[in-house]
Amino acid sequence: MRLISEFFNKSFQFSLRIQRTRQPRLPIGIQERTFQLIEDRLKLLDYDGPVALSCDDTKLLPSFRPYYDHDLGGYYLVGHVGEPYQIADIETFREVTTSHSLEKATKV
Amino acid sequence: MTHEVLSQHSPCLLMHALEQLRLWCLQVPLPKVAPLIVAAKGIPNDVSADDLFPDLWHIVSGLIDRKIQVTSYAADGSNVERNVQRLLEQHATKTITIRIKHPSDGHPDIRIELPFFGSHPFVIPIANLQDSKHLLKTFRNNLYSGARLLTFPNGVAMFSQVREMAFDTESPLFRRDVEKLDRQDDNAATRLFCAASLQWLESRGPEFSALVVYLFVFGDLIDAYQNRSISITERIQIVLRAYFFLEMWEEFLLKARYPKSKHFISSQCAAIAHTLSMGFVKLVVIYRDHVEGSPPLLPWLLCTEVIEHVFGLCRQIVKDFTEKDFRDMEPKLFIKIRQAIFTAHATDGKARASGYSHTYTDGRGINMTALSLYPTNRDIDEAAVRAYGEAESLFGFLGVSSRELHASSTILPGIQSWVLDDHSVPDLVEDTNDSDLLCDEEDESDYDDYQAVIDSLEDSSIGISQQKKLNRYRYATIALSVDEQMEMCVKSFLMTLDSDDIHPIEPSSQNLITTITSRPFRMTQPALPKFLHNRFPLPTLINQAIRSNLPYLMSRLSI
Repeated sequence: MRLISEFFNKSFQFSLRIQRTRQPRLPIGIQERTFQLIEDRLKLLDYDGPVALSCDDTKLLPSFRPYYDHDLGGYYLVGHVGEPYQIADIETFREVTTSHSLEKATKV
Repeated sequence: MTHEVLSQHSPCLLMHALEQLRLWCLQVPLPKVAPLIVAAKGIPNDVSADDLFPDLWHIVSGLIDRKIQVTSYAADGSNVERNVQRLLEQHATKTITIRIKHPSDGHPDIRIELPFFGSHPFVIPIANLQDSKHLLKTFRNNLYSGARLLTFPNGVAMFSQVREMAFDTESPLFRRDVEKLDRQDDNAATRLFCAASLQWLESRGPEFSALVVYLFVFGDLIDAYQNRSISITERIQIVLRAYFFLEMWEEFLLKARYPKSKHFISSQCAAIAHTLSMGFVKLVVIYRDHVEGSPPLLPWLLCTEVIEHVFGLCRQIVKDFTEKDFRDMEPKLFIKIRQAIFTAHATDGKARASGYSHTYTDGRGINMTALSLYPTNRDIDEAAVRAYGEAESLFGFLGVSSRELHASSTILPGIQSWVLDDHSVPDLVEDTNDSDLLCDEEDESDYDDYQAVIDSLEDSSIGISQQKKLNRYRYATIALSVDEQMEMCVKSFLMTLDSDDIHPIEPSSQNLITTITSRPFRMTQPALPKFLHNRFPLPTLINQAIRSNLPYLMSRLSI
């Protein structure tokens, strides 16, 4: 295998996994970077023809979670309605989520 | 982008947990290309179209700003989603109208509004679509609904007929398709609308004629999107046939005064069918006139099935996921989508109560040449004429010809108007409520009325001229009655014959059958379809679909 990799650009399962983890993640919400990523991926495919947009919903388990955004460099609260909040420190997050101030929406 | 920092003073009291994940995907409409996830956003349950539209508008505007040519926007057929699509159309920069000449004289041209978005020089049209396979299930569920009875001129299509088919030993359906049924089962819907079902129904006799036509017309509408090989002109003909058939059906119910809420498909189903019919024409015009190089049109890739597949893969990784789980599983999802696309094989058509069955990755038998040849406007008009002819024939087969449907309704004066001048004539055109239409007591009261009139005539002294006039009406009634008796005799005689032994019939009867069957299928005689119901074979159109030119949906199953 090493002999082959000396002559060919051979990717292995492990190296592919590393490459994937370094790929940019989906931004929180809809941002300018959302469109930049799509443009980059279409460029990789060398495609500039028509595309079809589609949209659908699925059920989600309601929960508030901290999420680390690599691109923005910080922890953000996800799982609530509205724009994401940046979490200043973990103690504040714990206090806010464990207090009764958070109200979960009930299904209509 | 700046975000608010969560602190102890944040307005957390207003925060609600999300209950749904809204996902937008882009699909390059070519085989073996994985969908691209554009954005994912959590939403609460109780959202209106006004709440959802800003996100869609943000995405559409952002993609257009990057010169990405979005040609269609697909969503499911719920009321909220259709309102979002309506809002999108309202935000169009400009709109052009596609006109298709209506083949029938009394109707205005079909006008299809095509919205354009963006600003000069990048102005692109976008066609709103809904999911074709969802519509197939909606047609099935409408047929199974106990709240409505799909009524055609000489018959009805209903659940008990399908149940009878499912319980037959030679049936293409499984019992599970009608008992403890899964209403979201793609495979069961495909089995119901497939060629084998039509063949079974055809072999069982004329009482299923309404069901056969229903399954054929609307199964074929979905096939116009799902078929991998037929030409675009043929697809246009199919979608327009469904459009005209729905138009005739509605017209019939209106004239027969059957309430649409009980005897027609649901308004949502009709709206989705209309969107899909017109949406296909829009797609053809967009790909032909507004996309450089006119690439092949692969309509089965332009639907929400792509997203449902992504959701299905998500649930394979984490069954009940949160928004954070979705973000964490994204790299794995990226691999799984590609794995599914590249290793895709035909799904199991015999699976029961298995919910969604994704077929968009199935690229067997794609005819790229046929999918790249776009019809001209003249070809579309000609296809509309053919489609109208077919819809007319099918509706004629069900019992009412186009001439009857479009004729102005002539209502004979009531019997009381002949003799009793001072008595007010009952208005037969006045609206009656639903129960009146199906009520037997109405007939009995009419009979009593007639009897009362006859009694009064016998009691009263009438002149000679009135006596002669009355006699003429009596003779006319007797003549009509004799004619009806003769017709019934011929009908019962024909019923006794088996379809295969027409040859030993006496010459006079043979001539009668030859005369009837040699008529063109487009029936214009009012009594003819009813008269022929027990002998006339299925329309050639359906026979062809069953035997020779099996559409994709129908041939996909190896039943």
